[in-house]
Amino acid sequence: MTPGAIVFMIASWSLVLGLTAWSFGRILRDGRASDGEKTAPEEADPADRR
Amino acid sequence: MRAHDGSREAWGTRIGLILAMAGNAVGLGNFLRFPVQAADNGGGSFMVTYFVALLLLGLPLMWIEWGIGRNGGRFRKGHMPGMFAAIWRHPAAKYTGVIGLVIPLVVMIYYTYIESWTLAFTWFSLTGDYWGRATQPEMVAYLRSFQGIGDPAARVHAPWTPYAFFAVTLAINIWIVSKGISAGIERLARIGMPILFLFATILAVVVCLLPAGPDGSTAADGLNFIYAPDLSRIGQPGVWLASAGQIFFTLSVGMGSLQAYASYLTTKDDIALNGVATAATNETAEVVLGGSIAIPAAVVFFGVGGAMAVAQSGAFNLGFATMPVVFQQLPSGQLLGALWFSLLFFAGITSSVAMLTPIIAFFREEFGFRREAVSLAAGIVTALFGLMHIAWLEHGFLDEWDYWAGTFGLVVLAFLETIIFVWIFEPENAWRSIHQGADIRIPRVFKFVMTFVTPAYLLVILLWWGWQDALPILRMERVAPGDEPYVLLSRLVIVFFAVVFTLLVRAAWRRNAYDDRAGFVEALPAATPAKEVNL
Repeated sequence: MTPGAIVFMIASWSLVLGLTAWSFGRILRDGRASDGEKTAPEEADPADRR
Repeated sequence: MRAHDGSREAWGTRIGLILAMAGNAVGLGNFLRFPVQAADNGGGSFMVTYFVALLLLGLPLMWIEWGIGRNGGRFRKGHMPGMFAAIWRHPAAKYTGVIGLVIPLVVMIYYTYIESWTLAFTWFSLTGDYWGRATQPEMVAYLRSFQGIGDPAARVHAPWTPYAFFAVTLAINIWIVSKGISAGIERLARIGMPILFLFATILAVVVCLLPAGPDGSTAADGLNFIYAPDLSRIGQPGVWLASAGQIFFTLSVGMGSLQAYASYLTTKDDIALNGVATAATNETAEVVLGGSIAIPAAVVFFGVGGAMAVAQSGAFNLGFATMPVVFQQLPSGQLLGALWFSLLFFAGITSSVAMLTPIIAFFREEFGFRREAVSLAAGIVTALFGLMHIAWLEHGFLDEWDYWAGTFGLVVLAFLETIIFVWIFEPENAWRSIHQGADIRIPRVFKFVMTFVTPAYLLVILLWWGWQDALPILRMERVAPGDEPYVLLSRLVIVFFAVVFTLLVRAAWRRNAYDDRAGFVEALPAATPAKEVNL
């Protein structure tokens, strides 16, 4: 690989891996990651609309 | 994560939501289209323009679509006609949103067919069915035989083979969608996405460790082929448009599916950070893994010139003909082939189930149908129209749908939603809406980008593609005379879907006595005043 290609590859990979690590790090650190609350699927009630 | 008022489904966990969103975005294009585009457009030049497009087009559209979706969810609208009507109180809003029902249905139908090729080739790899066809022309002939193209006498597959794999693929899709958001789509993402990343990582490592090929080329030469900084091409408009197009397709924006997924969130849920995490996950799959498998492998075995020729012959030839040739020359090739095609299958299925979500939401929310019944009906429609693709693939039936719905239509919808969310809803409201419940503050420069740069970028793409491609394609300038009836029929089916959905939207609004000018009543139970909630 040429030095230019190596620089481009490292820069590209660093950008996307850095962004991924930062965003998931924030999500996991927040502790808001999952409140575990689930709502059972139900049919929508048309009476509640409009 | 809470549903708005207990009556709609909800995502089970935040990670599950992000994996489902990323699964929607990560598709066949990450592993087949991206390396071809990068190699064709100057490597380093392409990468520079690609990241500019990610910042100016991809991330803003990601936030806009999450914002539109979550706002629609406040009014129990998981489909584009309802989402547009929730923002723009005008009778035209709901009809503008019809495009957000037609596109996912049309794309889902032909995408499921392509997805069935990956399932078939997983099976063919495991059974060694194509073993012995060790040259590129032989594998291309094998692929065309499976697709039912060319001389029937030269076919190696029974005529029913593509139909059988299509039926199985469709059945799996419908089964998953019928299970619902949390138990179906989210569970698929939580299983499928880690498998996808694992398989892609294994393949990337195997490719990088390959010994030098017949002409001495290595995987490093393949990476050099993609990343060589040919900055002389950075001034060419075509490179900027190619990279913008790739960003557009890879993030699955302009489809209606991201919005449908986001509609199952509340204003307490973050969408700013989630949007970044989704885009970043997709980019990791594309740039780090997608760029490290197919092209480097092709360079090792065929040299840079050969790989360039393969890339120019199309992404499907690269994935379904070149890669099997490569696997046949490797130890444990059958297993590696199965890993490659099952990786593509998982990439495909996590996208195709997303495309059905807005359709199912529309019929459930507006007509009160059960999810299972709508899923089954969608399966029957997909099967019926999918048969046309299988039978008439060689006549350009699929290409026509791919262009009008899967290419041009996406840009049209993205442009319309940007105008409606940012300009009609107003930039300040859009900005505040995106930041409700947000875990991060988006740099304020993006408000300017969303307001001016993104719509201008989209408009330039629309005009350029309209001039370069849409007009010649519309005039059938590149269609063989014998194929014209099939192409015409292909377009008529899209028009038919548009008319049917327009009539259904009209019927839904009448059935539920919606008032276009008054807006919807918010589904939130508590303090926030209904109707006048303009974020």
